[in-house]
Amino acid sequence: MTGRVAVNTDLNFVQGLMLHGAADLKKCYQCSTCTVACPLTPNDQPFPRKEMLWAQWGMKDKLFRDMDLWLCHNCNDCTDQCPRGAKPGEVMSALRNQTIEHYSYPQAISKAAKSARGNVVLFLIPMVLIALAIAMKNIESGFAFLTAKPIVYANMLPVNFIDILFLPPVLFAVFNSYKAISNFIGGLKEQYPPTDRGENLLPAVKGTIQDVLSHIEFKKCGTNKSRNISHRLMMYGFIGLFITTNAVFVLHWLNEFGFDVQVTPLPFFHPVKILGNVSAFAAFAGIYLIVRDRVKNSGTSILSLFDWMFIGNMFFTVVTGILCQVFRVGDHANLAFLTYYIHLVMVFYLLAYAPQTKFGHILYRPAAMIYSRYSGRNIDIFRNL
Amino acid sequence: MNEQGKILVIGGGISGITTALEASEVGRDVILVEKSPTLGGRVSGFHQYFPKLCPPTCGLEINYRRLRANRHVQVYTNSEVLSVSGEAGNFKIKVRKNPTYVNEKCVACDHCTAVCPSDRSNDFNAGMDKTKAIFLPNKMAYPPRYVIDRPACEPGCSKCVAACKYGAIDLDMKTQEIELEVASVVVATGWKPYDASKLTNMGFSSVPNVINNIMMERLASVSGPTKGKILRPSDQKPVESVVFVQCAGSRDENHLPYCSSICCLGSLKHAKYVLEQNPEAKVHIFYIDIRTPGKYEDFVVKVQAEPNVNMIKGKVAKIIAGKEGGVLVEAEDILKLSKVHLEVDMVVLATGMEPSLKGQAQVAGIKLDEYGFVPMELQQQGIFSAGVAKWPADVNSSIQDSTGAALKAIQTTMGVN
Repeated sequence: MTGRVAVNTDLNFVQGLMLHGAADLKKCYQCSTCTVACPLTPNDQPFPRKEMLWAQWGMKDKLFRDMDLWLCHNCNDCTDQCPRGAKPGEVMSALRNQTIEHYSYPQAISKAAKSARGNVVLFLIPMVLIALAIAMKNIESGFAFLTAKPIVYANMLPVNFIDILFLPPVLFAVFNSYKAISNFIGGLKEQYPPTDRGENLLPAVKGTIQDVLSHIEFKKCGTNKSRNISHRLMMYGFIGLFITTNAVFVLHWLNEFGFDVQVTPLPFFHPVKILGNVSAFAAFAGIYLIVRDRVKNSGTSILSLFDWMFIGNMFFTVVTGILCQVFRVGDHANLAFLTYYIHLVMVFYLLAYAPQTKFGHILYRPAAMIYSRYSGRNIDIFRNL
Repeated sequence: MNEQGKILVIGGGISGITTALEASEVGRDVILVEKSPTLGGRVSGFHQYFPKLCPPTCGLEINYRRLRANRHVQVYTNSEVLSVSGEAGNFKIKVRKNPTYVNEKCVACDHCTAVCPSDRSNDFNAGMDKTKAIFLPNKMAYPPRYVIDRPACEPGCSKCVAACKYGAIDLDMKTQEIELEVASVVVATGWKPYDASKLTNMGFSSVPNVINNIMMERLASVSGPTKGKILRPSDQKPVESVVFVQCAGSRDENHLPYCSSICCLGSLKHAKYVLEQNPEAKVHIFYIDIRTPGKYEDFVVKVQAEPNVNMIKGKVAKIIAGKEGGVLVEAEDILKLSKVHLEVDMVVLATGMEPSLKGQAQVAGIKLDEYGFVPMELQQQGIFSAGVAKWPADVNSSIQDSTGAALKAIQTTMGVN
């Protein structure tokens, strides 16, 4: 050998993968039942059989640049039909998590999100920061907000404080997302150079938005078909909550600048309030259904801490959000403010660490889907015998 | 005459016949019990078999002649072993002789079938044609005697009795239970093709012209339903393109977790059948790995060199009905990194070997492993297994294994353990 390296392999990568969700990876014997079972794969260079091979060998460079990981929507039809119990669907999911970790910046956050101890640190940061802010604001008044009637959350932490508190982590997340995703797309371009079959960027973005909103890929799934409903509820719910939060932000600052608009707490039938409540319940129902199906399929579907942290976070964010309103209206001051505090911590975790945790899939997946259209991967070419 | 005890051989296929002959030709008394009405087992249903690719007559005929000339073998056909008890040198065996309703006076003159009004599905031809309710199990049945499938008869019908000039038909024949004493037992119960209708994505019971490898043997055999012409079942069209699906059930934890070891050779042989009849036919063999142990490697190379044989690495995982009797298969061509969609005249599923005893009523005293095989190490002293009852194997190694089992059984009759 003259120093020529045919394949780059990394056995530590394989071991890490097997520890984090892909325990049965090595059972695969490359029969490719999975690629036929898959309702989403293109005919040319289909997945997930090739990913199983790359993963077994630890060919991580290929995997990190693989857009197909993100065209997979975890239907698990492959896992169902696998003759070896190698669970390709779970392997793909674990590979996505590894990809998020690989591109994440700073990587320490992503590594921390995989371990219990790391998560304690990740939670302590917002817990301390928010607690300090509350203390700073209220130490003079002797925490009078606790006894003031009616319960107004802005008494504990005014919106200005929240905006100042949350703006840095949001900017931090935006910057890190940009860094990660531009590296990710760079990798995709290397592995799948754009072809002349591809769409222009704008139609590709538009088409992807339509696909995501309509859940067209989820609808093609066999085994995990139910996620067409549950994931959609959750996604629409969170989009609704995102709009609500921004609306409250805008209303607040309009008010600050002298416009006569209603600010929080909003009356029950205010359009923003209605949107917030409907969205919260949609998100709750979606997460509930997802968790129920995950638990039901726990025999075939192994979730790593990385996955559970994400689902758990979403769940508690929504639940504490709903409870905040319940306790406020029910006039349980201590419970209400405690819940609100937890809610803020949850939201902070979700936003600040978005690109390094599984929440990051909302960046990676659309990016890969757009690139799939842009590069022409989504156009099926038949190579017959 | 013999001081030593007898040997019981369960199963009258190629393994059981071999064991019985090897032991009896050195003077041991052997009792050979076969469940079906004729000896010959799976081999008798093949068109050709390895290693020499000769028809079954060439192997079975000489064995039957050796049996006829041998006074040490007692054959019970249409009989089942119910239980084995006792210990090495001193086993008590319960056997049930099921009635065939035709006695040894039968000369196989075939006058009875002309008057028989009822049909039955012909299991010898894998259900692809019919026989009368009174029938000869197959052309080279041993013993060459007709049998009656009573549930298939019209109630009260006795037309065959009157038609038989030899008084060979006895519709009142009863089930008999007999007890035997033997010194050792050889289990040579063989195999059956895995039930392909359990492979839900393979369309065996829902898509026309998807057949299994046993049906392919019968289609190619001159004694088969098409007189040896390879025609597809739905419309009798000569087969011009065919897909072979390897590992149909084998190496699959949901079906047969083991490799059946013979299906690859089987499909390669079937490719040869097809091309011999129509050299222009297109043959596609989809495989995970082609496994042809030992010297059979040469055979793969030979078939692979045929211009119309296309071997594709990748398992077929979807089969649906195509147009006008065609069949659509889908797989990944792994070496080309591209999915393949093919429409062909017929699909042959290379179904794996399932032990005959799997899913059958337990024979007391015979211990099965989780797959239904009869491993030697699970049996008590004096009980052995031979051929595919023990593990998946081809005819050649089954015969060698049976010779070994005969020796073990003989040793037991002599008090050697």
